[in-house]
Amino acid sequence: MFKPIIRLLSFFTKEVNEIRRQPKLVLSLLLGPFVILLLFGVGYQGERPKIRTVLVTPPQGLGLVSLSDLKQAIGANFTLVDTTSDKAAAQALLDSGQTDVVETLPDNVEQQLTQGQQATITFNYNEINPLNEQWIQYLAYAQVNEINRAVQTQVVQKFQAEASTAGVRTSIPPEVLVSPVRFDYKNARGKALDFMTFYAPGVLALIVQHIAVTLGALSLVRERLLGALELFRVAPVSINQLLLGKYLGYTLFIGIMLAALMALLVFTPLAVPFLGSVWLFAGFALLFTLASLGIGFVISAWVSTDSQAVQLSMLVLLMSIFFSGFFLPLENFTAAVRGVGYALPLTHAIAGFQAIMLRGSAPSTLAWSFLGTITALAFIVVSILARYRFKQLE
Amino acid sequence: MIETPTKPRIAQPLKAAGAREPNPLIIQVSQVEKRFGEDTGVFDLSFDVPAGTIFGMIGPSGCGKTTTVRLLTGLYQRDRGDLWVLGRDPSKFSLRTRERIGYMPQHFVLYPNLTVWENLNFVASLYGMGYFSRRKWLEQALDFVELSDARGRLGSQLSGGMQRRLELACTLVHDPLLIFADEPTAGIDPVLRGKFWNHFRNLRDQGRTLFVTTQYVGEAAYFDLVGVMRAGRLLHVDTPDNLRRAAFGGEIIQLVVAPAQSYDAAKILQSQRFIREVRRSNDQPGLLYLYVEDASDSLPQIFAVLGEHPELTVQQADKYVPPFDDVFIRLMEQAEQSNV
Repeated sequence: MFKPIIRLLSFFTKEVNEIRRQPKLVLSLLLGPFVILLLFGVGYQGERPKIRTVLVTPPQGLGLVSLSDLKQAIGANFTLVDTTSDKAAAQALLDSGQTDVVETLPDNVEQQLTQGQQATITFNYNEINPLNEQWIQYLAYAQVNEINRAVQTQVVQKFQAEASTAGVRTSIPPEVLVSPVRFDYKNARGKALDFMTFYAPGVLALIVQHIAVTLGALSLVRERLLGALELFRVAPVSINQLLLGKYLGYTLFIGIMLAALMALLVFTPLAVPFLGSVWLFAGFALLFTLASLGIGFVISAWVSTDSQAVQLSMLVLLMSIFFSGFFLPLENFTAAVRGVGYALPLTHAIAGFQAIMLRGSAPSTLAWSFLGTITALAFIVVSILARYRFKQLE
Repeated sequence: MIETPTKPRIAQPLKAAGAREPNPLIIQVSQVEKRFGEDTGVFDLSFDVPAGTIFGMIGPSGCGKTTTVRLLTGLYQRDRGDLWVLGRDPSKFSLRTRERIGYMPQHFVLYPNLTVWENLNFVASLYGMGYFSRRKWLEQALDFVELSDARGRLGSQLSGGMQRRLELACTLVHDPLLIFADEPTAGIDPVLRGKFWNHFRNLRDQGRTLFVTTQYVGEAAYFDLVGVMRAGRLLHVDTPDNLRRAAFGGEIIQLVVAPAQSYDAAKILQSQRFIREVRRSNDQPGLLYLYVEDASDSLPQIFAVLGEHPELTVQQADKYVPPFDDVFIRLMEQAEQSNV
């Protein structure tokens, strides 16, 4: 009567014993994420990139705008490294990589303005990083707006002075006339979290998924390469007992690791907040672990060697970093590629962990549903594949 | 209790020493074939294994011994023929039948990160042995293979011989009725091999049946029944003594006379009807090998014949038991000549 349970627990006990015999693995899994987050929290400044800029001014001067005002405006967005009238020298600096941007002011701003034409400020750069390009274009846009506003303010001041001479009085300041609308903002939570805190649940989820996928991916293939499947097939054990025992063992191990990691994150100087329910978190983490283990087991039942298993685990990690919303928002992808993201447990775990830990709310129904579906599908697939592998020794 | 085979017996089982009734057949194989491609696999296998015997399968590497074991344990499906193990078709073994089988695969499959005790405990729980009742069996199995002192050592810290002993303990821990051991003595030193055979004979004496493969031909002497395989085919199944007879066409008597008399002695003896063949040794002058039907019956006759020739001085005459390597080589040569 108890034999099936004893058989199932045999795999559970074996896995637990095998893992606890590897203290380096346990220590690295425990301290690794902690150290990563610590370094991230201490070292990441979260500032926009520093863009070195050479300003090329027309030899005859700027006319309407004073150079010092302009330098101040540029300095707000770019790191001004030099000002020159020599276009060729500035271009040489750009070509040699000593500057990131060459900003060239037009020769005759005032003349073009009086002729009813727009003058063009040119930003030349030599950039391969698309994010940096976006920053340059955005900062150039902001800077040109600032310059336009400064020019308009001067013009309005000039007109107001002329109007005052003619007896026309106005109480509206030129700044209000130029920018009649301004903005204000308020974060309902006071202020956003620092980067380290914001990313902590994601890092935690990423580590859990990676451990689970790697453990799962190596488990069955290792048994097969060791020849243990041959022994199991002759013994009175079923593939489901083997799988469930492994699920149980790894889940317990990951659960202990997760609890220890949480304690490190919450009760050490990292002080990551935990606002939600511990039980809700435990339940959600359990489902997430099962889903991740399922993906690992599918890999394990599919591949032929342990190096293939490690390789595929790394691919899952890479896919997770790109498509889970960990760094790049999921909304930035096309619908088809978003589907890849939804198939990854990490996508839902990040959202769920952030909701529980940082907002004190429950994970969305969608997150529960997706994780449940991934868990069930993975178990079905791994049962079929493993059964096939279990029977195919020939 | 052995399940009753549902198929009629296909050969007369051996009588165990002192037993009144023939032992029931634990394994029955009839014209079994398993192919891997055109001419690889095992073909036309037929043999029986009576309960309480050590059945050994010998043959060169790649001759089909492991395939046979895998067919018998249900790891492979046969393409043709009938196969009954413990009265059941191996491809349809019930859990209960599996519990009665112990299997020692060819390669070490125990876990390097588990201790000797944990490895053994794991296998015991695979067989559903209760947590509290199994301890006694674990102790016994470790004692049996003399690994009690090493119970706390990791699998990775064991020598090759200790690993094989641990594997044997794992095979025996659930007290199986039928034991399959695929080349259990491969790669271990002769002293340990001797211990293994002692273990196997103890198990046999306790009533268990063992199906053992080996490529050490000399080990055939330890078997009750020997199957000789070559290129996927079973050439002979018989007792070690009968195999010797088959190889040499009877028994051999070695006779030592004075070197100068060996030619005359050979000539006289060769003319006797009860002597099939006389060979003079190239290595030892004066040594003659006489091939006879039965050495015990022939020896007095030989002395009688030689007594009629007082000029011949017999220095030594006794039954010669050739090493099994010679038997095996002879059988292989015969098979080659018969184009088997």
